[in-house]
Amino acid sequence: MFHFEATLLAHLFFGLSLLVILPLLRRRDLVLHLLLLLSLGILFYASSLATLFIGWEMMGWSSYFILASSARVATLQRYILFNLGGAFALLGAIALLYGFMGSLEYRDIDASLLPPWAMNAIALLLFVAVFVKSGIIGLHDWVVDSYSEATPLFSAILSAILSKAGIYLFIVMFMVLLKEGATEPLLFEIMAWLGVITSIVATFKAISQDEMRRLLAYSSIAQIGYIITILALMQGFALEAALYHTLIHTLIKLLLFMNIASIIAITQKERFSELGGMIYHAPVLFLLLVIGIIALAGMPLLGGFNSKFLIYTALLEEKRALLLGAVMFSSASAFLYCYKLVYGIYLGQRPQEASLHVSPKSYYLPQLLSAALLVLLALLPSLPVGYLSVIGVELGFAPLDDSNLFILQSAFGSFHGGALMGAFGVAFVALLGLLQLAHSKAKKVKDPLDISYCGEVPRSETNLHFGYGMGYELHRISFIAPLLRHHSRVLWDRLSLIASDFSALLSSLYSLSAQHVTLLALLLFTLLLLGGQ
Amino acid sequence: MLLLDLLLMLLIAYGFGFLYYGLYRNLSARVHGRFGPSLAQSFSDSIKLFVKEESTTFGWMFYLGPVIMASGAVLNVLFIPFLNQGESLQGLSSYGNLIVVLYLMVLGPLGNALGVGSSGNPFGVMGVTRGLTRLLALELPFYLAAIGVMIDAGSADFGIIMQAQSTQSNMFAHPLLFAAAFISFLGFMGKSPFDVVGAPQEVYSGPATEFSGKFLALLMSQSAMFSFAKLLLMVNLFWGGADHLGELVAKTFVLFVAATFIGSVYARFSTVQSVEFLIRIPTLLGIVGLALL
Repeated sequence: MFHFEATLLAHLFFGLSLLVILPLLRRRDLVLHLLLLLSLGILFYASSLATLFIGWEMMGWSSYFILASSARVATLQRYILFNLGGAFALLGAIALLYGFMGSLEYRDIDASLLPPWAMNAIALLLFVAVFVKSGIIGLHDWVVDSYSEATPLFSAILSAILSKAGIYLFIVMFMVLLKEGATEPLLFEIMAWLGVITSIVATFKAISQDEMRRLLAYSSIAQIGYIITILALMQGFALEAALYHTLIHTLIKLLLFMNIASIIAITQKERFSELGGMIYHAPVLFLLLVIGIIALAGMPLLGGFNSKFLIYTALLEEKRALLLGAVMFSSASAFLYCYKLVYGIYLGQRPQEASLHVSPKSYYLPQLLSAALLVLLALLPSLPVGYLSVIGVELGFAPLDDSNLFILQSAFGSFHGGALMGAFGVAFVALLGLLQLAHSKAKKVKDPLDISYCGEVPRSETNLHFGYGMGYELHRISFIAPLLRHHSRVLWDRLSLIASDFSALLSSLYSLSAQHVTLLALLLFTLLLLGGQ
Repeated sequence: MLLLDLLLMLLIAYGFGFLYYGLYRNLSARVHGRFGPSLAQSFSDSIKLFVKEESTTFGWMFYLGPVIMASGAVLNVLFIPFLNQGESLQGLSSYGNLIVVLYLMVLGPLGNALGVGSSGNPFGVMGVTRGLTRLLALELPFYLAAIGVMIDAGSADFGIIMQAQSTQSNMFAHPLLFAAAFISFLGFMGKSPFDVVGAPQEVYSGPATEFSGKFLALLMSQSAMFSFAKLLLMVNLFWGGADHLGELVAKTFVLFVAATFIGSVYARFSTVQSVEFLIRIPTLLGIVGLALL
C-alpha cells in the first residue's frame, strides 16, 4: 500500500514520533493522543496527495482538541486560524497539481510537465504550508502561545515532533515529488534567508523571555529555522545535515520540555523570576538539563555538535559564506538563552517561600532516554549517518562515508567523537584528582548568603537572583532592540481589523431597509440587462 | 609517543602562557608609567594560591566549574597543532578541525559559568551575562574570518589551512579578514576595550568573584594556557603556522605584544558599546573581506 521511494524517510519520522509520543501517553486525552499518532502515520506513510492531506488535517485537528483542554480561547483561535491557513495553501497546491497531472497518486506526478508559472505557484503555496507549521518569523505567533499554554507533556510533543511535520512536507514535496520541477531558484534563496533570519530573531526573542516554555518555544523556532535554511540548498549533504539536525532537535526538545515539566510539577511555577537555586533539590534533573543545553548550544562532547558540524560544512561546501556567518551568529547568540535556562531554574539563590512537590517518576524516562542517546551520538557521531545516507541515496543523492562510527566525515574535514570525549574525560579526571590532592581543603559555605558582596552583608530579603533578567540589556542595543519591539501580532491585529470592517460592510447588505433593497435590486436588474445586450 | 607529545604541548602552553602573563603585567605597567611586578609573579601567585590551607566552595557544581573550564583549555591546546609540518607537536589535531576548536573555545567558559551561577553571587552572574552578551557580537567577525579562511583553503583541517598559506600568509592575502579576526581576538584575550566581563570596579571581578585558593589557582593556570591556545589559533589561521618551535615563539610573541599594547591604551567599552562596535566595524570588515574572496 505504501510503497513510494522515500519509505525509509517515513520510517525515520514515524520512528521519532513513536519515540516521543509513546513514553508520554497518559490516561488523560489518550484517544486524542492515539489519533494524533495515527494521523502522523497517515501523513508520513501516505502514497497519494489525498492521504497526505488527510493526515495533515487530522494532525492539526487532534492536536487542536488536545490543546483545548488547557489553552485560552484566543490561543486556540490563533492556532486553528494559522493552521487552517497553512492547510488551505497545501490544498491549493494539491488542487493545482491535480489539475495538471489528473491524479493524486505520488507515482503519477511528473513535475517536468508543469509549466514554470504553475510550478512556482505550487512552490509558493507549499512554502506557506511549511512556513506556518515551522513557525517562520511573522507566522510564529501560534507556536509560542500554544507551546506555553499546552499541558507540559503536550508542549514536549508539539516541539519535539509536530514541529517537524513541515520539514517532512518540504522533503517529500520538493526533494521527491517535484524534484524535476522548474522552480525559480530565487524562491529557495529567499527561503534560505527567511530560515536564518527566523533563527536570529527567534534567538533574541528567546533570550528576553521570562517564561520557561516561551523561551523553549522560540528556541524551537530558531532551530527549525536552521533546518529550513539548510534544506533550501536542495543538496544531498544538506538533506542529511537537515535530517541529522531533525533527529538531534527531537531528542533535545523532548529532554528539555520534560525537564521543565518536572520542574513545573515540583515547584508549580513557570517563570524564571519565581524560580532559582533548584540544583541542590533536584541534582539529577539539573544534570539532565545541562546535557540538554550543551547539546542545544551545539557544543562538542554531546550529540548537538554533530548536526551543527554537518550544517556548517554543507554551507561551506556550497560556499555560502554570509549565510553560514548568519547561522553561526545565531548559534553563538543561543549560548545566552541556554545559560539563562539553566541559571534561572537551577542556579542562583533559592526564593524564600517555596514549597516543593514531587515530580512523577515517569517524567524521568524520556529525559534519560534522550540524554543517553545524545551521549551515545557524541561518542559515535556516524551512527545515524548510514541510515541517513540510504535515505539520501533513495532520493537520488550521493552516499556519505560512515566507515568508522567514531568519525563524522564531511567534505570540509572530519572529527573523531571518541577522541574528543576521551581527551576531555582524561583531562577532567586528572584535573579533578589534582584539586582533590591539593594541600588546600575545600570548605563549604553554610549560609548561602555568605557571599562576597562589595563589603556589605546581603539580607534574606535582598534580591540576589535578579540574574534571571539576563537579556534585558539587549533592549539597549540599537540593532537588536527593534527586533524585540516590533511584534508580528500588530500586523495580524491590523489585518483582522480590516477583515472585520470588510465583513461588517458585507453584512450591512443584509440589514438594509425595504426601499434600499428594492433600489439595489433595480440597479442589479439594470446592470444585468445592460450586460445581456 | 603521542602521550609524550601531548604532555610536551601542555608544558609549553603552560610555561609560555605564564611567561606571557608576566610580560603582559610588566608591559602594560610600563605603558602606564609604573614598574610592574616581576615576570614570575603570576606564576608564583598561582602556586601560592594552590597551597593555601582553605578554599571556599558552595557545593559540587562550584567545585566542578573550574575543572570543566581547565579541561576545555587543555582540549584547546591539544586540538590545535603547534607546528605546520612534521609529526611532533601535532597533538590530537588530526582528530578535530577548526570548527571543533571554535566550539571548544566556548565549552570551558560555559562550564565555568555553571559553577559561577551555583555560588549564588549576583556579581558572578552579572559578569557571565556581560560575557555572553559580548560574545554574541565578538564571535561574529571571527567566524566570518574563519569561514573565509576555510573556503579559501577548501577545508576546515588545520594542516590544509596552513599548507594553503605556504606562498602567502592569509594576513596579506586577506587583510580585511585578518583585521576583523584581530579585533575579535583582542576581546577573546580579555584586552581593553573589550574587557567589560571581569571589570573589578563594576562587577567585583565578575565570574571570578567567589573563587579562592586552589580554585583560583586552577583558573589562573587555565587562563595562561588558554591564552596561548588563542595566540596559536591566530598564528595558524593567518600567519601560516610555524616551521619550528623558535618561529612559533617569535610569532606568538609579536601577536601577544601587539594585543598587549593596544589593550593598554584603550579605555573600557560598556557591554552595549562593545556589541555595537563589534557589529559595526569588524563585522563589516569581515563581510567585505568575504565578498573579496
